[in-house]
Amino acid sequence: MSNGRKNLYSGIFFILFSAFLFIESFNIKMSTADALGPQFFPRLVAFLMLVLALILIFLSVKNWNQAKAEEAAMPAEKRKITFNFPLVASIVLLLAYFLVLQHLGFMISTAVYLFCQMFLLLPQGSFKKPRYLVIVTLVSVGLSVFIYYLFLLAFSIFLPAGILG
Amino acid sequence: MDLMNGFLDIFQPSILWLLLAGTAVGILFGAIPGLSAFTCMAIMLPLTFSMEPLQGICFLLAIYVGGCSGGLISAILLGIPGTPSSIATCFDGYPMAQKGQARRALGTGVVFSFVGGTISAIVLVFLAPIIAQFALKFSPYEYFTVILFALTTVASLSEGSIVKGLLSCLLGISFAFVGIDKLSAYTRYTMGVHDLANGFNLVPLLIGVFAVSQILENAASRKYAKASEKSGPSQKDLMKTEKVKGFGLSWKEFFYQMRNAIPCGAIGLVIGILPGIGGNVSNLMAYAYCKNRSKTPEKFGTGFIDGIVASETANNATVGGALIVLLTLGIPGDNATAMMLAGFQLHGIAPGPLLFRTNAEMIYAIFAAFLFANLAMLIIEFFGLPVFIKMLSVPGSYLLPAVIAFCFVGSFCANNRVFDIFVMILFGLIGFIMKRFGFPLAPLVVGFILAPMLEENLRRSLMRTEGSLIPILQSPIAVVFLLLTLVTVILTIRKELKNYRQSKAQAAAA
Repeated sequence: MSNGRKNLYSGIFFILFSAFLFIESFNIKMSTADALGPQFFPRLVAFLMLVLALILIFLSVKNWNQAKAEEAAMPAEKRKITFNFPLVASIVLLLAYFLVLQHLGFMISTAVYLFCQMFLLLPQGSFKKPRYLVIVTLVSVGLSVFIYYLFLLAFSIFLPAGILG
Repeated sequence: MDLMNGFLDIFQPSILWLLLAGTAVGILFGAIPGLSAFTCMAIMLPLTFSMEPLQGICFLLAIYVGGCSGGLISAILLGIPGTPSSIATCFDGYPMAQKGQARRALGTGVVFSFVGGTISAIVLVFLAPIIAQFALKFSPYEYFTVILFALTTVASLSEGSIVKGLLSCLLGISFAFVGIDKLSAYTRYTMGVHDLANGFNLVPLLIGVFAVSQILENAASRKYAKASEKSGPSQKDLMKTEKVKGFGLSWKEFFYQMRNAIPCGAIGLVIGILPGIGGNVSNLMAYAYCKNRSKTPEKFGTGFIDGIVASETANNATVGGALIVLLTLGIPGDNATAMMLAGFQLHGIAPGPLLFRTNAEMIYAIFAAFLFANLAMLIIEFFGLPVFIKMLSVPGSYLLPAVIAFCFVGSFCANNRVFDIFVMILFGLIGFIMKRFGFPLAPLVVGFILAPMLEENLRRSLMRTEGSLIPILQSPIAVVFLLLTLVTVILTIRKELKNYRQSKAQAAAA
């Protein structure tokens, strides 16, 4: 994506977001404690956001030709949003971590998370090499156990124990 | 005298040990490219839970000091800045190392990091109480204008255009709306989600925006990464090629370099005071300043010692500047000071002018700790060099996930809620997307932190004046800050228009 296109999209996002801020502000209970009340500030922010978003869109449309040229000069792979497996997998992994943490406990969830995340960061194909497999397994299991007991014993902080607890 | 008491407060084994340890890990994280003082503070934050307030804050401060300096090690030996605050150190440090003067370059960098840190510490000790005294007299509307000024500076000085900076700042402010409104005690923007009633917690937000977004970025860029290792003489060989005594710098050279160090220290200090920029910019500005002023500007970039002096003095002086604003006004300027603020909050302490009155002892202990951490940095960085160099070879693919594992703990511990891990992931995504779309992240965070103060002060002052804005315009302090705000915006727009025209002219010429 060129910068112009990025600005256009983010401008549209911010318009929608400011609309959301404004509409939601009607759900705030009225208070007479002060002259402005709790709704004033959110509405002010929504208004400023709208103005700035419009400026952003205006600028990006004005320079559209330049953006087109910039886009044409880019390599094909960068021009379009392509499916980026390591990125999507990392996001899914993080969300999964959040969902299972309470059930499986800190040690198991973290060990599994670290194992997967490291392979997502290592160069492609590392999974098939036994050397990496050993290092990653040792590091991810060792680190999770170490952190859990470090906080438990040294700082008396209880991390979720899950099924091990 | 107060400072002497401060030194007495920190001269107990537990604090001294924490200062030394904090500086050492700070240097280590600073030296590893991709990790910074902020990452290190995020990891170490949960460790401060069980500490005394002063211990915890000294520990975080030491990490900050070490992290700001550690970047010079990889900048000189690898030619890759360990942190953005040592970019300019690469320019002359790496060529020096290539010429077989690695030790001399490292020694100079370490010494002048210490000089920069100490200059800023001295200014901090003398200036901060004066500013705090002054700020104590601020009425709510004067405080409102100060915060407004800080927010616009962050938005306009961060990288990217001012429109994007302001939008990022407004987004941060909107996130701060979530939760209970302090003045009316009604909840806002919780959408009926019970976990949101207390708003977003600062710690998971910070960790998400700066650390989780980083891991997503690394994962996303694996596709384009090349497997080739950097070739060239190994770091060990670079170190062996010369024999030097001490820091590799004679006293004569040291005093001669002071004419570079003192103005660069001043540059670093001023940049540190301005919210939103910090060490990333100060080292480059100081480098450019010394190059312009030098009689032999052509030597810069070829392994010239003045370049290292400029960059390293400035980036460490920035720390003191940033601390001035944080301690006296409670305004954090960048991610590392935001983390310091989170450290204060964890212990129920709010930095600001009041702290100077209610807990002056602690303030002077922090000053003393800052001076001591600089000294510790000088010693540890010099003698611990072989260890730090060895750690540089641990690949980032293992380190980053390990960092995140600690971040999970940090987010969880802040409130003992699993929900905060979700907050961290959510803000990781937000940070990642914003970076991709060219939005600066510092205004988001500073906006989030300052929004409650901004709103509260405005509403309180309008309560006092019964809704009239006129008393605000009658206060000279408020007017000065309003004018400064306006000038910042106008100057930034003018600069951007100029850049825009230039780029257009270049495009037309090409």
